[in-house]
Amino acid sequence: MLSKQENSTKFSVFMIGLTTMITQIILLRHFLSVFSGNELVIGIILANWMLLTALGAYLARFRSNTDFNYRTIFFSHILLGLLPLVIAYFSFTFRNLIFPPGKMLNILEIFFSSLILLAPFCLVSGYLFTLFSTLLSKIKESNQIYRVYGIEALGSIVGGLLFNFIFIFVFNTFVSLKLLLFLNFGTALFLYFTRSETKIPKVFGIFAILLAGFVAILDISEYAYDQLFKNQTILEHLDTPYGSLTVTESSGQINFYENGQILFSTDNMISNEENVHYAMFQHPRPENILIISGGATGVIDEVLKYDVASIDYVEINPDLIRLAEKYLKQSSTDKTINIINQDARLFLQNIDNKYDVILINLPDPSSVHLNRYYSLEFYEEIKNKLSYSGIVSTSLSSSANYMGKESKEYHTALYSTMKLIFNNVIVIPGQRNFFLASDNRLTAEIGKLSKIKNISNEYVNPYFLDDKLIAERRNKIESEITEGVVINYDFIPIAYMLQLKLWLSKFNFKLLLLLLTLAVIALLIIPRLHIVNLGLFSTGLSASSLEIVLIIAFQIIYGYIYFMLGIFITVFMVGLVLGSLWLSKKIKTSYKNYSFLQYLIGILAILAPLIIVNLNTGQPGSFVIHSVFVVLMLATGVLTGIQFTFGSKLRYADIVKTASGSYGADLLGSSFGALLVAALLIPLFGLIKVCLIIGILNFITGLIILIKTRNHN
Amino acid sequence: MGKPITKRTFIKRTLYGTGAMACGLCSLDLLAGKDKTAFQSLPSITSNIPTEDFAIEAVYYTTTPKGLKCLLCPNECKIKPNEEGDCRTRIHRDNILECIAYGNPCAIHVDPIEKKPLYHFLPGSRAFSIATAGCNLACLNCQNWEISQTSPSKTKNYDLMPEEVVKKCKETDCNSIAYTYSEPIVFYEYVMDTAKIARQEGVKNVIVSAGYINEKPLKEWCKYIDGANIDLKSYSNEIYEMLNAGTLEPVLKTLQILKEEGVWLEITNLLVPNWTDDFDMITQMCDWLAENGFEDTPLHFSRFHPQYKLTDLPFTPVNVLKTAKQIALKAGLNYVYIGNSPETGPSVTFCPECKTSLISRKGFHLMHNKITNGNCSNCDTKISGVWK
Repeated sequence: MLSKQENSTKFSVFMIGLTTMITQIILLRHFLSVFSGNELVIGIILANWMLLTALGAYLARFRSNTDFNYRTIFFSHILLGLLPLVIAYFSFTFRNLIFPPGKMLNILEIFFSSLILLAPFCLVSGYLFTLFSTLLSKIKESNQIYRVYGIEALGSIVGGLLFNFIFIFVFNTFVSLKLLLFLNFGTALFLYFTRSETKIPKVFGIFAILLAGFVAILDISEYAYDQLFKNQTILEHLDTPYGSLTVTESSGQINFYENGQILFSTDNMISNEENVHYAMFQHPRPENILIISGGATGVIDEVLKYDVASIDYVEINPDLIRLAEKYLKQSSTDKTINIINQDARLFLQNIDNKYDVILINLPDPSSVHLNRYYSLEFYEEIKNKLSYSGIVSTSLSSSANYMGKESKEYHTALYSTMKLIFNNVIVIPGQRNFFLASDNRLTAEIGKLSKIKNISNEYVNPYFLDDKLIAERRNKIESEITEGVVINYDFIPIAYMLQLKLWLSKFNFKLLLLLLTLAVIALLIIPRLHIVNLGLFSTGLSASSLEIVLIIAFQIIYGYIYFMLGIFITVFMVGLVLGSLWLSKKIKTSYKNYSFLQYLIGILAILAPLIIVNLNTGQPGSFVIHSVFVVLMLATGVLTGIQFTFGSKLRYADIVKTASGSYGADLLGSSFGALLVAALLIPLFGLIKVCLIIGILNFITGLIILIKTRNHN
Repeated sequence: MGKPITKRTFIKRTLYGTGAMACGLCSLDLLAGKDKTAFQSLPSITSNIPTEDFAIEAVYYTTTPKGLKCLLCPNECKIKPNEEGDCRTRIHRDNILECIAYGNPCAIHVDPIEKKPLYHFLPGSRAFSIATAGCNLACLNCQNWEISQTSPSKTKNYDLMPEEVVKKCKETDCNSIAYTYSEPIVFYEYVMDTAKIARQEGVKNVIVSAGYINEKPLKEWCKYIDGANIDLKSYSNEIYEMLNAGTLEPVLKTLQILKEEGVWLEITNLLVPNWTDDFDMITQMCDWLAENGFEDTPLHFSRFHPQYKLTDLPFTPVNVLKTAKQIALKAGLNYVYIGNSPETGPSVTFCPECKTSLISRKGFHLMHNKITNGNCSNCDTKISGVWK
């Protein structure tokens, strides 16, 4: 009897882990489409996620009856299965119901909307952690919090693997969520049919079966996307590892969206021609061309106006190419075009080709990931791949007639970074501001060049572009942005930080103000935490920040690979399981060891950047790079896992309080890690300093624990 | 009038200016292939002179028990001591409403007049274009948000008093001064004083505005303004409120006054997907224009580009622009154009009578101009506009 209860409980905990993991990944991607966000938005959503889960765990303290019963488990699974689907659906319909269509939401709107939308699911899942910890501890008559934590992590591993390696390739968002619903309803119904002692009223069981059947036949997806892309016909929607792609049609115009943000539309001659000809005009005889992203928009057709020998087109997402081929008139069948589905940085590292013109058509550096294409290190790589008189072109979104303070700093960063590598850098003001760089001579006399080159264009021609007028605007921009020198590095992503500032200025938000607010909140919370929970708070914060730093660092050093992302997160979770369930038993649970662990996390945080920097300069093989990152990820997970088990055992309160306290503190820390560290401190200070800050934070926490618990052992 | 500048300030500023220019030139020389073709006479001195130096008492306001009430635009802000109006250019200081947008433009450019867009106003000429910071509206899709949604005290400004504006305009071979980019209504006094001088000097004045202004100040303006492009943002009060923070009625009133007062008028209508691209609404708008005597007023349908806070909408489909044009022509409007979109081919002015292609524009260039003395060269029908 007891073991049956135990097994049911454990299985449910496993299912919670699996469900929350998959739901988290799906809803995060989903909300990106709804809020069309940058990394700060991801930080806000993740922070809210953990904040609400922590609150849910805390609220379980106020439950009076903690006896085991199957009814609770039954309803838990019904809710866990149903809520993600409901949230995903309503987030789409509410977007255009509450907010004006197409309007960018500000930080507060995103914060509150995601808080409200996530609340039902996260509160329930947090609540269930405390509840199941209590149930299992009662059954086993000992503190089983660490075990629930470990089993939940195990569920997360399976969930993460399932999603990242199977679901994403086979199912779309809503189908994945339906499957999750069936899994949870299945678990609930299994209990309902097999455990005679469940005492669940018949009506609920029947209701659950009917609901599952109804969901199965309902095509939620189509209706939900119609709501999100109002007044457009959805031609196709595809969830790919690199983001969700949507192709729509409006009055004969085809629009491509990625994660809810518009990638490009057809009939956009200005953009296509500007992207190509400003740079191509400069070269006497452009033969070998490299296009980094954006080729599918029609850019390739523009390049083919020249007598080129080869076009290498790097686009990381193969599905984007496929959809473009399906819905647009493409020239990609031309034998000169070679499409490469790879991260451009990774591609550049492994080729020996030299190009005459490199065209970069990427969005602004609105994330650390994109910042890699605006950094000094990147332009060094680019220069190595340029022929003697080669030209590279990139662009930033422009401010039409006046450059504000934020725009100016932002443009200055790109200009001075490029200027450090290339002899000549010029800015051609267009729909975006185009930065051309070369060691050869460059000119902004586009009108004159277009006559000489005799290329027939609709927009880039002397009718639209008057050299005198271009020169006037260009001189103004360049005199503004050549005043200072701001260098953008991979590890110190200043361009990203400045882009973030510019974005925030649209809402009259100041980056520093945001930072101070969070710091004040942290300072209010920290002194109120129990000494053991303080440790868990620091660990949660460190773990989530280190995880993000390591993932970004890997992308910088090696390149972006979808599978590695999934593997890293899985490795971290495996570390958690190993640490909490197994290694924690090998070490004596004591305050001294607890503070020692805190120091170890601190040392890891400080060692990580040292290792990373060495990796970056030493140019080791890909096996070494992968192994180092796997080890660092695993170590972070293991230390976090052991620390949690210790934390949950060291507090001598009752199980409910301990479970909710330790889980809450851990999550609260992770929440700060996601928002404060990942989204704000990284752009402000760069990766290395952030690691040092985390290290110091852990040393201080370790010291406080050591001092405050001197008399305990 | 602006506060007179003392001799000391003048010398100080000149010195700063020369210094700044010297630094600027040094760095410019370092750049290879620097264009020497740019307009040399455009002001290149920017300075951070305190805003107070550019303050002038506002012309239209009154005192109420709740503070000063600005009477310039339909917002009619009641402004408490040391606070500013919605437009951020009018501040209550010691019971006086001060306008801090005077002689301190933050954007100065030379543009083709077709870019404003004004197609029937000195075609092929150039406009010396200026703007100060500030705006009395807050459109979600503002193209110039970095100057419109801020105050002149926060932007980097030029020092260019009215006489200087006219002087620079002539030096750069422009036939007109365009008060544009942000919203000329909020630098009303600056426009007025500059326009007066320009009129004396034979330079024309054009405003590019959303037309959200009260009747009295507008009528006063009309005495000196030669041309206007008014942005009729939609034909729905609800959309005006949600998208622009304004209302429709005052804009329609502005159109009527400009016409009555004999100011050359052209209208722009931006087609924002999901917001202002409803064909029924466009039909209503065109019918209203035709019924109220705007048949000969050029109407420009403009293509939306994702901007400012409206970044998640696609470009206006070309077919929507074309359909809107057909609707306008059907309603009886004689001159309808599509702007911002090279995809739709050249913009042609046809004679309403004999349908001869009179002016064909490719980009900002005239391919041909067959208007002689304001008339169609084929059938001699009068073509509305300012042709010389």
